[in-house]
Amino acid sequence: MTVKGSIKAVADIWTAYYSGLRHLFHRSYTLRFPEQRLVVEKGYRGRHLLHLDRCTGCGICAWICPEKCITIVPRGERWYPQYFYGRCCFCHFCTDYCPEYALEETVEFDLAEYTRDRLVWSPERLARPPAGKNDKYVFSVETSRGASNIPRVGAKPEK
Amino acid sequence: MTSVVSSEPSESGSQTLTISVGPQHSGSGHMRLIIEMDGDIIIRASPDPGYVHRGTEKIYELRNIIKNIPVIERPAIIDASNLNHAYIRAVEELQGIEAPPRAQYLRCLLNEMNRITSHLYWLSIFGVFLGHTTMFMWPLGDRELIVDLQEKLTGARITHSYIVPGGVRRDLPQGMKEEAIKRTQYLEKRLEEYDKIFFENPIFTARAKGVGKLSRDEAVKLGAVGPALRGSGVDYDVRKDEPYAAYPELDFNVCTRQEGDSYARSMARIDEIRESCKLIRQIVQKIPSGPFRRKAPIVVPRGESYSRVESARGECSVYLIGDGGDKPYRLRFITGSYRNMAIIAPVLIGGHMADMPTAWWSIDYWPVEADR
Repeated sequence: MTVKGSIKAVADIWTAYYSGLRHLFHRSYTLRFPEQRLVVEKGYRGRHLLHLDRCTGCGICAWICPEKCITIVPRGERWYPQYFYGRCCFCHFCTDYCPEYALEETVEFDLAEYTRDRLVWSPERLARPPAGKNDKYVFSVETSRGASNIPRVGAKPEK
Repeated sequence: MTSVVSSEPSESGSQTLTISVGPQHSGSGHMRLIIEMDGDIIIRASPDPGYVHRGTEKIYELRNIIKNIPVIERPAIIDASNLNHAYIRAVEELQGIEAPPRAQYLRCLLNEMNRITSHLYWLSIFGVFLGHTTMFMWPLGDRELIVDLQEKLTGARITHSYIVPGGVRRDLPQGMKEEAIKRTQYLEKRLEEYDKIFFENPIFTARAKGVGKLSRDEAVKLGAVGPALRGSGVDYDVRKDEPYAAYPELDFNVCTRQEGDSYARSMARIDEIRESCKLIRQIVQKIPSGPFRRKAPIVVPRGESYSRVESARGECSVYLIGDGGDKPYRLRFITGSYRNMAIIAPVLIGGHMADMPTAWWSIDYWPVEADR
């Protein structure tokens, strides 16, 4: 390697180091879930919300479901869908195809359970509106620093 | 890795060593790569695909066309919408319907965002296999910006199920235009930093330049597609050569590099990210008003259709036969990685074993997409 080449190589390596080291003073990309979580806006395809008064039990949701995770179960005189979230792929074709608008998507996404039985959501459980998580710090993806904390209205910014 | 020392000397009188790389992801992805070495030089390389074969083509015959959408996306979830687009275009051709212009733009918007996220995902894997941990972290972090945009548009981060026969499922949300412009501009700025830390870094260029050479003639002869072909200087892109959706109305360049080595293939992808950023800005500014979905029947009329799109890893094509029912009679589905399997051996042979990760990952071969 020529002297000129060596100097260029050293300069380029220093540039690489410098551009990496500058980011030591930037905020981290990673969040400490579940204390910190990303903002999930309305329209996110999370778990389903069932409006019992609108549902006619026609079964179109069970027919269109690609993963066969919906079973239509009787409740007295009426029939309602029951979801098995172990199979659901959250495509929400059921919500799209419901002729009575009885299904709705919610922003609730952390549905992990310890037992398989708990993954079966009965119509009554689906009808419950999502419980507000006590989010201490809510973050949003921001261009200036990668993922950084933009407090949602009402949430405290992180110190 | 398992190794076998051949008992019989080769023609040159030396013994060779056969190594299995993979299939449990020891640097090869989910497939086995059988490499025969003479000393440190690779003298034979044969891919052994099929480890993650799931028989999706048979599954498509058992489900109706809407239920097929999530399954079509599964082979390459980081590039889901491009595969989905190829399928939906084949279905629409048989049904004789065309999506409204606004839907065509929205499809292109999601396709370009998917191309960026797929290339950034590749870059992070490429970086970590070359021992550059920062290049593993940064692209995955910046990918979040685009994944978040996809979530705003479709409601899901990766498997969108967004493109359906007759259009798309949702309209452009409010504030998306400004956000898309801001984020793509930021990403372009970040790409300059990537250049400084990685692509102009002498440690990387020494490992990538001249490694895994694939000549122009060989790339054409073996039927390479995507950035692996464009890295060898062939100006071929389905978006330009057989324009579909809104691409005829958009202004973009096909990114080619002449050298045909690992560095050229990598840079072809980085140039493509830049072009995709420009395309996204063009789409959100040019998008026409009007409906975004048209009514379409859940039926595949009798007949045959063929469609192809440019996915992130190359040309993806769907050949569909319908028999008048709601399920496809036959759906042949070929992806970019499957076509690029032919260039694995010529790229690796003649190189050092230590250069294998560079040459291998510069192809961006995705075993799940190839095995289907």
